[in-house]
Amino acid sequence: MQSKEIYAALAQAFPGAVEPSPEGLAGDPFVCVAPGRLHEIMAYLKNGPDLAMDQLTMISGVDRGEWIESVYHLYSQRRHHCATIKVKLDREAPEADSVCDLWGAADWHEREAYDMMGIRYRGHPNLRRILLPEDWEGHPLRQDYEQPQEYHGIQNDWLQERGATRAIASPTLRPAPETVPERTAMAAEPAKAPAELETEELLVNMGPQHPSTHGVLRLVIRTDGEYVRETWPHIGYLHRCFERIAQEVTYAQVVPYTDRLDYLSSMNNAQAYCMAVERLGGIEVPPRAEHLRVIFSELNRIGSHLLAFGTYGLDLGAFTPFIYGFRERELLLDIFEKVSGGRLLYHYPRIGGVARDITAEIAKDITDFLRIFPAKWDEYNTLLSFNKIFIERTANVGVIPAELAVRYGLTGPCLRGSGAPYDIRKVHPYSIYDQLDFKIALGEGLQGTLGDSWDRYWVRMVEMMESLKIVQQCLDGLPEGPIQTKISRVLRLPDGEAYTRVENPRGELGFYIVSDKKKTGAVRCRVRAPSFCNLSVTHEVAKDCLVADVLAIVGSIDIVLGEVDR
Amino acid sequence: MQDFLDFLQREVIPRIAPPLAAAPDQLVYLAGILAGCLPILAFVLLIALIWTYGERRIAGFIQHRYGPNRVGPQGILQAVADGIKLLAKEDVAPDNADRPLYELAPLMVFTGAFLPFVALPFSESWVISSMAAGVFYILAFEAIEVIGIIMAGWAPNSKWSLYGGMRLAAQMVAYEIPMSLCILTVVVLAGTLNLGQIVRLQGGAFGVGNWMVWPWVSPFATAAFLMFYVGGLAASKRAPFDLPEAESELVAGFHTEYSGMRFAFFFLAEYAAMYVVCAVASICFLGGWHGPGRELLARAGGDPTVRQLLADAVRVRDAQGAWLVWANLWGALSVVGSWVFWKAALYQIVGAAYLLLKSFSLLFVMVWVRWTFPRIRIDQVIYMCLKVLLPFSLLCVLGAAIQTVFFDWSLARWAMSWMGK
Repeated sequence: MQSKEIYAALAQAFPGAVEPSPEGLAGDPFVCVAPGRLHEIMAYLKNGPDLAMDQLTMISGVDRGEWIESVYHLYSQRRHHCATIKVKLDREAPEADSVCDLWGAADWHEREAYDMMGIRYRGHPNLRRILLPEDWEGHPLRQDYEQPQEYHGIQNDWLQERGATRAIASPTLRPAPETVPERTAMAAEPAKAPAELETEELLVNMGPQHPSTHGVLRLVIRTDGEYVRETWPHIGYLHRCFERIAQEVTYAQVVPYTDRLDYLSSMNNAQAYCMAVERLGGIEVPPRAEHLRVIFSELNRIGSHLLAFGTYGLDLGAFTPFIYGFRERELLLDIFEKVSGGRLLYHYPRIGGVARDITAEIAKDITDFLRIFPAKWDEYNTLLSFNKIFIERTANVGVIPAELAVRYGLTGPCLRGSGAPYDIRKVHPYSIYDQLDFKIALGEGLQGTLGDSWDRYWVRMVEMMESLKIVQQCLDGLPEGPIQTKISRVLRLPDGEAYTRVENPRGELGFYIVSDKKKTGAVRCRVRAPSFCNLSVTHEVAKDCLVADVLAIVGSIDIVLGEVDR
Repeated sequence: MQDFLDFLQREVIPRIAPPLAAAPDQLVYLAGILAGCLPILAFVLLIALIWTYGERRIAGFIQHRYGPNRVGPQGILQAVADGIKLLAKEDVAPDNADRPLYELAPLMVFTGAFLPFVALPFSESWVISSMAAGVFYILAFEAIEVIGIIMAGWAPNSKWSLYGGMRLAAQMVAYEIPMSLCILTVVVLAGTLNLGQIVRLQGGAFGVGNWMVWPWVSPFATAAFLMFYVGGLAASKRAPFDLPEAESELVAGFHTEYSGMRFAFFFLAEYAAMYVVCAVASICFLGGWHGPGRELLARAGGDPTVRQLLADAVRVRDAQGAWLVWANLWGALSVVGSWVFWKAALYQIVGAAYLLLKSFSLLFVMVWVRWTFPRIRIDQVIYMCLKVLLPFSLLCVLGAAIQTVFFDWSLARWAMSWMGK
């Protein structure tokens, strides 16, 4: 179904409660629903047989000045269609019904909307801040937000240099103990009769400083000896206010910031952001630039998966694959350096094209890489993939059934490892992917249960080879022509909003941009970060397992904290 | 060592220093033991120095990188530099640590790793104490390390340390059993607990053919060797059994909260324990100091023991009218200068070299394994011990017993004597 048809079906089912988007807006259409009937309509969208919106892509809070919106992007894994539902809320006391009971993914998204925009979700089981500290004051993405001058003795120099006068008191209170779910969970346990051997459960902080949490993720685990009973991920240690910055600067200035979201796949991120802006502004990208974008996105995907492969081995105690992965990644970084000047953050895709054309030398480097890589790939498989110990550690560990994966909004290798064939490059081809021949890598439960850690790992391995094919095809069919469309120096986009999704190495990366024709920057630039959604499933999977399994599971989800915390 | 000390006291001391001859036996033994410890300590340090450097270079080779190559030629002084750095480091201890236990633990671990060397032969007559129950002694004292590590896990009051300590306790205690059973297989075949005797039995056949590990000697010993080696990996907490200090799970396991020299003690102990496992495997299964060509030296030389050497020295000295102090010196020098001494010494040195070569080869495999395999999980570690190694090592002991009773300790020897009949 097209979104228009979905909206028509909704208007028919709920007469009077659904208001279509005004005419003349650029980008994607949407509907506004009555706040009182939000939950009812959402349940209908999820359970309606023709609609079957089984996946919640994301929830965004948008401050429109007079009112605040809670925006729901929904997706159907069964029918592959999407819809955007909005609910307008009172600015002073924004309150909406929680949809946590319908989609597990809503848990973290609603917490984020509460944290950033102050929307209270009625019925949310655990509505706390997620990215910011518990004792932070204010909701930073609101238009009228003011930064505090001091936080626990940390001075805000930036504000003070600009002579800000309003002093927000330094918070001194820590959160009351009852609000921390781990402690309540421990306290709620019934007192056991004293056994002969008295044992105690331990709450252990794994992270934020821990060798295997891939950055500053904190996992609180409740352990009974070597068994982990529950895991609660805590995020936000790397929050860098991307969405707020994107509101403050112009459209073109956001591009380098997108590099820093998932810093292992900067090419993909910038491409996704540029696609959103191009969609709103109706900007055409020349075919040569599209080819170059795809070449570098796919090379970046190989580089990112190589790192995932290496660090996964590292999590499981195999050090050598890490170095092997880095050996080939080095070749890729050299190529990126030649084309963009950067080895990690490229700022290569630009709005309306790419920054530089490739030279004969770079083309030769890429061809060389394509030639040598398959042999190296076999080496990885000998070393790690089919190692008996590796299989014992990962097969049947952390099984995510497809239903659970969809409910929590998992995408990318985490979803495909469970057997769901959702690859945006195939399902909703963007750029030039519809002209390319490649397969979707799917988990098949080769070594154990479908959707276990080994399957997710194997999907990444197979994807590397598929990316290789894509790059080869793009190189062969690289058209001549310009690499950049002329766009005005100060870009203004028409009123409207657009959501674009691309397949980033970790899953569906989406940019939701709300534009205003009077402004040179976005009203709201929301990122649908795949790692954020993928990580939210952790507490469902990493329970009743061993301590070592927690790392096998978190490692197989392959998060990048830069993207989780934004 | 004891007969050597007896000999010193009876024969040598009265002649060169008469007043000391009245000293009680115990005092002489004590002095002898202290003097004997020094070369072992030096040896343990040397092993650790060689293998910290060696391991990093081998890892570098396996991983397509250089490894340390800056301090000294080819980086051979890297381990020394690391040692100096560790010595100079601040000794940081957590506030809530149980201080006495915290400080005792590294020493305890090091002692546990150090004591087995007392009974461990370095060559045929180079052994501090050739005790009758040498094998038993080594296995027993290796287990002391566990106590130290439990202390190290408990004392710093850190959850990660506690996990590491508990994992190690479970793992080491579990693997002691199959390891001991594997050694028992050899003991049953050889009929002795004395390491020197076990090695002597494996001589002959050009120094190679009679090693316990060969299936034609005893297939049970072959299986026992493989199991002992796997158990040894686990007991010396080497990858893939390095869960107690699994850096990706437990930060650094039981030594998370240790720094500087205290950490270095754990490190030394680890390498010492590795060497002990490899040396015991070489001695019990790989023919110890036997190797091709060594027997030729034995035929050429006399009774090649230290005691004999010293007896020779005394005899030479006596023969030259020995009541002058300088004559003692001359006597000693004349012994060192004699062909007999050098032949005997060479015989020992070649033996020591063979033993070192075998042990180092096994150590190399340990390093190779570490840089190749992922780590296994605690339940898999225990499963492997209790359900795989334990029953099969029991079978080996049983098989060895049957073989000894009905055939001979060496099947090849039995076959030859049978054919001879």
